Amino acid sequence: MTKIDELLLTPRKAVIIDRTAIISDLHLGIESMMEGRSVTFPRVQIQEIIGSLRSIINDHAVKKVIIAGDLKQEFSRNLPYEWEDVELFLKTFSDIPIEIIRGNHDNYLSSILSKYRIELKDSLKVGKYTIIHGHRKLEKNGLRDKKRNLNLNLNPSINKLNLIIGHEHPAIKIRKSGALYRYPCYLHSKERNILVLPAFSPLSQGTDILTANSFLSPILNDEKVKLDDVDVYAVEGDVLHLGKVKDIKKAGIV
Amino acid sequence: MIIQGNPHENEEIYNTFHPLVAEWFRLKYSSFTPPQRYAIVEAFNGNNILVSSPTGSGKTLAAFLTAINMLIEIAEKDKLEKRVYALYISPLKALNNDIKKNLEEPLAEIYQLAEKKGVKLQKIRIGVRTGDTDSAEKQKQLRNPPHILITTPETFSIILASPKFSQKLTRIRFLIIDEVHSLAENKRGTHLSLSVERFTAMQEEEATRIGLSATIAPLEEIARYLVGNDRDCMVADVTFEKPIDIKVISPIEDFFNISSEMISSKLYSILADYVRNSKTVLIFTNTRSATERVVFHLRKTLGDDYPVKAHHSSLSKEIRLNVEEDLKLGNLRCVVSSTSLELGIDIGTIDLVVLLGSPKSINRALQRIGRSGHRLSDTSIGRIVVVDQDDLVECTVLAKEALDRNLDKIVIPEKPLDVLAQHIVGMAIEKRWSVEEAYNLVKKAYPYRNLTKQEFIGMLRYLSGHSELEKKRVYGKIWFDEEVEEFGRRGKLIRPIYYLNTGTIPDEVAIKVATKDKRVIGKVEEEFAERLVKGDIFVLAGRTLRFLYSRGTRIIVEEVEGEKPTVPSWFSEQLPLSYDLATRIQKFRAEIKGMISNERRTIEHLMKEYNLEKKAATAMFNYFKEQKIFSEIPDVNNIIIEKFEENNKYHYIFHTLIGRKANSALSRVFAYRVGMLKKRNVQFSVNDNGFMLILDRELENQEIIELFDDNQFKDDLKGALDKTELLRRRFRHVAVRSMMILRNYLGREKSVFRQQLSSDSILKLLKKNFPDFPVLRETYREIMEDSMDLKNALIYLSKVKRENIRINQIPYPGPFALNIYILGEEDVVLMEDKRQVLKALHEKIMKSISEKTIVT
Repeated sequence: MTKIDELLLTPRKAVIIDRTAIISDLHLGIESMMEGRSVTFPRVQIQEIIGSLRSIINDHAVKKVIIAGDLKQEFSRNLPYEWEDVELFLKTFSDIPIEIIRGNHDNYLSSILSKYRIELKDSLKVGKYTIIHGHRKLEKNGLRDKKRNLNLNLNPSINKLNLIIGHEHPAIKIRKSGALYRYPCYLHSKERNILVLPAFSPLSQGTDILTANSFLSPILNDEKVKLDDVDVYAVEGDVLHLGKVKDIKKAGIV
Repeated sequence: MIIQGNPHENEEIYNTFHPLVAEWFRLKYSSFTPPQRYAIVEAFNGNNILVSSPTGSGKTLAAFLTAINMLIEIAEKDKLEKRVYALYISPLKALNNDIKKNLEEPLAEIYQLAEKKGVKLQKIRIGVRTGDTDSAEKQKQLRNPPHILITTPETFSIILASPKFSQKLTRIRFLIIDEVHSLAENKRGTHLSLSVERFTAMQEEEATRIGLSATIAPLEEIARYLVGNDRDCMVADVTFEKPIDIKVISPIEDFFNISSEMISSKLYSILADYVRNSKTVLIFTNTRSATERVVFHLRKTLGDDYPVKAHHSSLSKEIRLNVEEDLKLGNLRCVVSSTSLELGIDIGTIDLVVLLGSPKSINRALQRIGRSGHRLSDTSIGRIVVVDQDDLVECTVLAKEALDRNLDKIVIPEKPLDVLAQHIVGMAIEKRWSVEEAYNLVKKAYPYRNLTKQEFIGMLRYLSGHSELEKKRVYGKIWFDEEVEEFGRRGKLIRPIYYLNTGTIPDEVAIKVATKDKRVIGKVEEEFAERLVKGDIFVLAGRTLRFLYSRGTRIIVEEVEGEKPTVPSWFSEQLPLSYDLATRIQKFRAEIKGMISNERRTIEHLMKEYNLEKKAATAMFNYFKEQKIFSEIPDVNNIIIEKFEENNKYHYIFHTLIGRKANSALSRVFAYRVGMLKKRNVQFSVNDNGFMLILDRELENQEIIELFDDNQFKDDLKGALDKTELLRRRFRHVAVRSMMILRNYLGREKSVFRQQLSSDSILKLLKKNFPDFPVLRETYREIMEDSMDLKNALIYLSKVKRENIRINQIPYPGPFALNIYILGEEDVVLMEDKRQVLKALHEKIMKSISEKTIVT
């Protein structure tokens, strides 16, 4: 485990601040979506996710869980398994407060959540940190989405944004003795203090940041975070700080 | 029961003919050919029959005459109905139109004869139906069904599920399957075997099955494949009727003290001489790139007086047809081919067949050489020109075995679950089935004779989306009620999905590989492209390439000659040597080893017993002698392992001459065991003669000997596969064949699998949660039994006596090891924990950062 500031980066892909666990990009029901797109396999994700989150809660005496967006998979409608998986997820963790932030995949989620009296939020604050999903741009005075009339009171002109986001699914892909290894990772921009969470979904392949030309998240791109300058914390049984993207590239790994 | 067939006398055969057919035959032919003597009367009597015969022996007519005869009889009575009477299936789509022509000709002649005699005959229709048939033609065939239908295995399975056309296929008298030898041993044939059983279940009365095959063994097994379980079949082998002359030719006397350019130049001059001294020569190479090379050099050497052309499957259809036409017309002096001219097509008069390099199988050698000598009575002349020292040894034994007709035994795949999945979907579309009825049908197909009911129900569960977790079963492709034990169709979409995704021919390679200046080098599979990391070096079409970046559906590379590949090769055009033949070569090694101290005797023995020329015999002697001086000759009794160090890596060469398929299994298990022992990644390469392990730790002799343990072998192989790239790749293929991944989805080609999901994770989670998942089971089975030879690897191990294993330290790879050494790594068994790799990466970066700091 590694600490940045007061954030504890755990190998189970949850970040812990003050007994609150933050995870992102679960993509529940992804099997259902894939079936609609011609790939059929049994539901394997939900049990894996439940097991993993339960361990996080137990290991760190977590009092609250925050989902930083993309709890579910499909954009356009609720697929049969999404209902089941989301409900199973919420029922399983009914012993602990859960707060959910809207991601770009979370349309129609509120209809499921209302049953559990959970409100779908656009952002949350824990200590000095603001947690958002990361798929929308920041404007001078907050999020661009005027409809929701949000103001995060973030001032992008101030260097440190103190943000935690998901959406990016960062990973690194490396080759060693003929084989391919993939590791999900946390990314951290020291200058702006933005932490990017790895995808919690075990089925997500992740975006290889060593070959990517830009970020997925408009926030990172907009805020002039240089890809080469972000710090990479790879996850595999432990969390290992590998240095900056440019260090990894320089070391001749890719 | 399989019954040996008998040849029938002329009168007996004529007695089965309608007078018109008999008269026509008498006018046209002087007598019946051997396959006709065996087949016609049996087919007439409704007996299933399999005939193995060489090309040019009149086998097409042997198969069709009874059907033609029957149709003439019905046509004369004016009773031809609008349905199919005889169905012909050939794996060679390109040949179907030729077959049609070959039938139309005799029919036209019979009709002329009838007209002369004032006999009125209804018109007999012949139709061809393949994947290329347009809908207008299909409509026509539905309105006026052809009485003889010519088709492919794939189209056959589709028309069975066609609600309207299948009704025209319920009273078929004759089912003719051509080129059975090329079907029985692969999944395409497995697929056909189930189609045939589904077809049979639709018949009011069972059709008579007629199978045609080239040289193959064991014939009884192929017959069982043809007729399925619990049916009788007559067999006849007339391949012996054709005399054959085979000789092995070595370009030089010593493969070691001469440059490879020199060997090539000698080789081409031998080939050129063959062309100059023959009317038409057919040269077979083992790869397409070799075909191109040979054509290039022959043209250069021979000039315009001796027209030489290439014929292989990468060439366009037009070019190939032109070459075939030129051949028939005698316009060519030489054609060079890889495999495309092995089967079918009448190619006119060839007086010499040259095989460049080992054909790897006795059956293939006979098949290829059999293309020379047009008529059955002509002697087939074949010359095997060897390209290196191991090739010389192999071909020498192979030629002897071929002359002695010790054929390789083919292996029929055992109950592949992916093929079964497709058929269950197809059956569900047809109607509602009771599980028992469907299970009994499937079991009639020979490859599925050992399928258990439990396995069958497992498939129904998989296809209906059943599992402990699934309450709603939204994933199902079929509907399955376990209570009443019935299954059937689910939803309307499944029919088009089935049509688009049936068949076993693997995915077309989709990703183009090009250089920056847009020169296309070749294609790779999507999955391969996806796993490339920037800077990776791989080999394609004989070129070494560095991966730069990908752009849409192509990947951009630069050529980097001489660099070491970082990615194990996925593409091997090499054909494997059979275990039987490999064992025979082990014995040959012992034979030569026993006399190697006497040069004259060895060379004389080789010339006398193996029909070698002096040059080839001398080259062989030199090869064995050098190995003996350098280290030791491995043979059937002695297992030799040679070890040496290079660039701080330990190389272990195992001279286990058991064929590449069995060596693949053995090498992976050994690599896995070594990896477990040393906690290290182990690279390996494999060929027919042995394999090499490479790692950065030294092994004790005792540790090496312990590797030869046959306990836990299958488990260790599974363990090894779990840690290689091969499994992931095969999993995807099997998933496509099992309809888990639909290649074509409602008309659109989709490839989302790679975009968002990690196939590694899916595989991992399936293994963890559903170890019995059919797609997974079939992936392991296919790898272990079809692409590897688990059975024979185990047989080999059980015979190994540990006291006969010797480990020799050598300074560098010696004569027998050379070809294994230059192969390059094939795959790697990953024993280093993912965490270790990450830690090593971390250290490397830290080091690089600190160095940087010092510099600045």
